[in-house]
Amino acid sequence: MEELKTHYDYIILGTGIQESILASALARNNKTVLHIDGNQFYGGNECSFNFSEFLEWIMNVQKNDNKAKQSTTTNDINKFYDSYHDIDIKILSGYDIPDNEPEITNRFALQNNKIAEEFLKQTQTSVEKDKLALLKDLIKDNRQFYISLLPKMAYSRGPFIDLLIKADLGNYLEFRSMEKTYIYNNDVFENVPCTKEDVFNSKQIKVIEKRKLMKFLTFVMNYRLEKESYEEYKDKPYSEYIKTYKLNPELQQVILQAINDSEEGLEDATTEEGLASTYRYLKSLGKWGNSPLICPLYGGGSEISQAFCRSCAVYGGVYMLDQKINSLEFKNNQYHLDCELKFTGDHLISSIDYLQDQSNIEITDYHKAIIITDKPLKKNIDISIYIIPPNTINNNKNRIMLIQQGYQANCCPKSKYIIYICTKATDTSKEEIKNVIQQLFEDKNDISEKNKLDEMEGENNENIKKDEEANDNNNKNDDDDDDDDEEEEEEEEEEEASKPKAYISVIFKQSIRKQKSLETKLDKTTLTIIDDMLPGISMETPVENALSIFRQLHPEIEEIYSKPQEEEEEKEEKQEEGQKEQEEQITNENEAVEEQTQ
Amino acid sequence: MSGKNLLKAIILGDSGVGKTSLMNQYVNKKFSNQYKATIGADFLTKEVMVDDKLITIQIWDTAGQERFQSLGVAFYRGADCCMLVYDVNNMKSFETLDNWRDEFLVQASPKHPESFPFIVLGNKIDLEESKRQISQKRAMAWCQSKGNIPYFETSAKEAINVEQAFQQIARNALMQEADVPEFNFPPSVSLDAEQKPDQGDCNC
Ligand SMILES: Cc1cc2nc3c(=O)[nH]c(=O)nc-3n(C[C@H](O)[C@H](O)[C@H](O)COP(=O)(O)OP(=O)(O)OC[C@H]3O[C@@H](n4cnc5c(N)ncnc54)[C@H](O)[C@@H]3O)c2cc1C
Ligand SMILES: Nc1nc2c(ncn2[C@@H]2O[C@H](COP(=O)(O)OP(=O)(O)O)[C@@H](O)[C@H]2O)c(=O)[nH]1
Ligand SMILES: [Mg+2]
Repeated sequence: MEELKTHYDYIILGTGIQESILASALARNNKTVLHIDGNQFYGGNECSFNFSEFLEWIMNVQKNDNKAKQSTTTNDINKFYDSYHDIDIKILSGYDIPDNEPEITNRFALQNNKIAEEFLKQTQTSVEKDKLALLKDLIKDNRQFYISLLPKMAYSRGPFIDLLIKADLGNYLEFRSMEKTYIYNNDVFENVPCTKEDVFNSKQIKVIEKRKLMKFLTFVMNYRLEKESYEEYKDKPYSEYIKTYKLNPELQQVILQAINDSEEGLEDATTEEGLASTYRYLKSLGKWGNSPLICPLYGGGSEISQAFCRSCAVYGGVYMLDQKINSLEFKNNQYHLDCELKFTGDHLISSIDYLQDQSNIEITDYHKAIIITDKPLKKNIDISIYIIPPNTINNNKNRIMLIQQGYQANCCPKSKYIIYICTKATDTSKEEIKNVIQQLFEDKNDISEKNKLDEMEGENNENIKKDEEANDNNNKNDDDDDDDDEEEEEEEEEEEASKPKAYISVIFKQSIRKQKSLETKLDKTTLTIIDDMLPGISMETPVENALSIFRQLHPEIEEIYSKPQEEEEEKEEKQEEGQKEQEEQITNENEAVEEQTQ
Repeated sequence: MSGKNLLKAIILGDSGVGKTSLMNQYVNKKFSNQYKATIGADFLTKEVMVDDKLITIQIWDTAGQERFQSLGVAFYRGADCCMLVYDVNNMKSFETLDNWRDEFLVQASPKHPESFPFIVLGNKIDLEESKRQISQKRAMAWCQSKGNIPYFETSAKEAINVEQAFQQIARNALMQEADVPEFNFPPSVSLDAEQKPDQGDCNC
């Protein structure tokens, strides 16, 4: 077997998106790369899980939390689990228990059922039959779930898509466009107009408001050419500047809360920051579908990491997952790593998970929830975003963002949906998330309701999808005279017949860590620490961050993804071909090989 | 037979058994004893005729990520067939075939695991007989026990049976029922290489 190198230009710890982009970029530029992860999976904090892996992750977070309370220490330096805390699990009650369970012989299925049972034992006070039946039903489709710890989408025009195209990774990834964005207003989620058409057709916006909005958006599209017109507001709040366009409060909310990719909205942004953010959003409209965002399929984060890691491997990078890291030391100007094998490296790039000295780390906490449901939040809408501005549900302090992904995002089985909730942590944020869940989802299986549906549907009593379609048709018959867009509005105003059921809802706190100051960053010129990715919707900032780190490491490289090697090789080949017949060449090569081995 | 004309084939097996070499022999008719550290193989494509039908096979290499069991799920996704390779002179590489087959079935989770088109290749048969550790009989017995997987003894170096093995896997993959998508989805967005990255904004 090929001897494995023990010394590398770069040792990279962690396979998060940023580390993976760097790994790929370095390998493409002839640097030797050893890429290591302490977990069994790719993606670091951007990973995604199958259903069984998700249950295991929850159990591990709980165990780790308890351990931390007892302040026992382990000798593995991987701190992946340390950024998740206070996990609360709620499982739907009253789920139908099947009369006779089919006998299961498949060993993978048996293993999964065991995980479900173990999960209930650890997280619930007792193993209730209905809950076990529910978990077993979900775990049947285990591998159709891709549950993401940091769900992300990408602007259709921006550095992330540019990078994918330049690195030629289109073959490894698939996307589908995000369908709709909604904003919570007067106790309902209202559609946020995404295109000029939407604005013109919107019934929620009055004609005069439309003109003002268009004026503002047109300005933003060209704002960099008209610097003088906002100069005096540059460093003042964006919210102040927007007021000068005399938009009504709802539209101001749309701009500050819904049409941007910032973690917390643009409430506290300066005009300069706000304009840049709105511009990024508008620039991406109209490329693929009606929204500026495209959603990576199969859970996103870890897929993206895998694409970049594969491209690194193709260029010689060495991959080792599931590594227990015993020690990592810097001596004699080299990093010494002791895991399954021993290695040395000239440079170290490390995610914060593997940083031994965490004293220079600044933490921002977010409260998050992951919910698996039987229905989408809005009828017939799959990939979508829901924004709850501050002070709209029970005086929520901060903006709350929901992301929904279903079968169309290839991260759920049919008629299941994952809803992610995220808000910046405060002393009340957990309660706020609980309120939102309570308001939007059912936590009990209402049997009387199911019977009603059964009667209506007759024989077809299993197919929920069919129920929905039937309801839809009823609606259409009722307002036959209306034209298309009016019908849409009608649908929106209509009270949901029944809320989605939360099969399982998991609330937790996640710490997003970053280095405190630049000084420490430059302490050792051979050490690069990668800050955690923020939970904002898009991928632009982390991509820009990774690329700027690359430029700092290798200012001499102008084009990261130029292809000089391949071209050279082709040239070589052509020359060779010109000289000899191909077959001759092979025999020659073989002979040469034999000579060498003798 | 399905209407597919592009097949994704993946080659699995322990590091060093000759997966990359088999691919290169099949597609480029080349063999080299030298390991190329800089550029590995991503995937290679080749057009083949199977019963008067022109098929493109896209063969994905493990790119070395198999060495420490670090192939992610994305690598396996959408495979139409799978080639399991071992080295007839290396017992361990034969014993791990079971794990590779399991790993494939778990990660790729094909709809019909029992009839999924596998093929097993015992490679490096050009080396002297005295080095051989696994008899043809033993390998064939294993293949039989796993649902009659076709078995070929190959040499990437001497180009023995390589063409035949790939031809067989293409044929078997085509026999496999195509999974017809049940829903009419909006098409997924594809980023092909021809697409130019967006130019940075003008005037700035
Ligand atoms: C609410 C809103 C208002 C916007 N207003 C402007 C603006 O005033 N000026 C600007 O440059 N950018 C504006 N944008 C950004 C703009 O829509 C896209 O960024 C840009 O048009 C995309 O270019 P395109 O050629 O790919 O798509 P476009 O050709 O612009 O098409 C995008 C969508 O808008 C529709 N559309 C286009 N023009 C009109 C029109 N005149 N009337 C009705 N529908 C139309 C199209 O049918 C399509 O559905 C706005 C964006 C939003 C969300
Ligand atoms: N003698 C002989 N050597 C081979 C054969 N196939 C591959 N090799 C050698 O085995 C080593 C590993 O091959 P490689 O294709 O890199 O294996 P991989 O790790 O499975 O991709 C290389 O040195 C090859 O030259 C073969 O059929 N016969
Ligand atoms: Mg190889």
